[in-house]
Amino acid sequence: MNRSMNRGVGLLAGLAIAASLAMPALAVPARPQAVDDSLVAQAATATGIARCAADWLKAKADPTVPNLQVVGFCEIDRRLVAIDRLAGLVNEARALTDAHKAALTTILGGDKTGLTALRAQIGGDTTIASLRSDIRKIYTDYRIYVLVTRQVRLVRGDDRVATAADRLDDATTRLTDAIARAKANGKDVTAAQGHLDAMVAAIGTARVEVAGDAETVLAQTPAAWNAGTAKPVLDAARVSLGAAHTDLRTALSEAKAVLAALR
Amino acid sequence: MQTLGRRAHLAIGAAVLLVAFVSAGCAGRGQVAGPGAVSMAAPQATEPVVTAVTAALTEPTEPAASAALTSTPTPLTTTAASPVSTPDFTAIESLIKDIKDELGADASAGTDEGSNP
Repeated sequence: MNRSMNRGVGLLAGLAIAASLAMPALAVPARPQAVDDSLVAQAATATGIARCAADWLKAKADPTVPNLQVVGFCEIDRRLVAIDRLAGLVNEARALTDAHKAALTTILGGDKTGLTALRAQIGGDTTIASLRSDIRKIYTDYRIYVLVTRQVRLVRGDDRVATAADRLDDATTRLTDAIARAKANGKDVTAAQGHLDAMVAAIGTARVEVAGDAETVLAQTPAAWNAGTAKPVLDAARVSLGAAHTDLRTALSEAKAVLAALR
Repeated sequence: MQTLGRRAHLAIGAAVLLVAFVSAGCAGRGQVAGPGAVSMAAPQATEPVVTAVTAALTEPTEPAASAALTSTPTPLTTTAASPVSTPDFTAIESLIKDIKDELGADASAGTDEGSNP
């Protein structure tokens, strides 16, 4: 009985040792989480419209100078957070041209300075009338979300189109060589050449779609938004960027088709 | 009989340990020395294939947006035996995805503006 138990214990111990040695090798490494969900939630809380909802309700119910100042501070603060995040997007974007990066940095820097000054001004307001006027300026003089955020996003997108098109152009050179070699080896390259031609055409169309858009987008101002002329420009740039995106996908698909035709 | 049984158990235990050591060793080699593992697993593989696999395994693992902007396409190696090897489209695919992300961010940007009551 004891001997049997000893054997069983020994066998279990052996298995445990084996398992402890094998498991680390078999264990699937933990996949790094790209984005912390709680951070996303914090980001929305810090810059989203809901951040100041309670302050607005309180100021509407009781429109005193202190309550309106709280509203002004809140609306400015969430915009300052948004500006800092946009500045981060601009700084990290290697696809942005130097000129576009400089233009966006100037816009963001000017808005940050202006909003900071406006915050101080709101802090010094002593009448409800002056507070209402200054709070209105947070919207009309800056348009951080409907204009500036879109400028950053659209220009980043436009410059990425150019970068992707450049890389696809590099690929066309290599694919052209590959077709030439296959042809020299006696292979029928008609299909491959057709796909390559389609790829080149799609790259060209993508470039044309967004040509000059970044400069046009960057030229828009809060005043133009208030006058109703900026939004159509931004919307048109968005449509062009979407079309260029489709063209680039087509070009990439055709590039892969070239390879498939040569196999 | 009891002696034979003890030997049998010892042999089983030793075999389990041996298998565990070999498994751990192979797995560790696979994680660290990918190309070597490929060569071991497929000694008949031709050189272009090994090269392509090596290139795939040595792609940088930084975030997609950064990788898209820093990595360069793998040169298209052509030989008489294998006229075409797969170019690296990873960077282009990342850029195209980034453009889609910008479009999404642009579409939702205005929702936070609010309006001055």
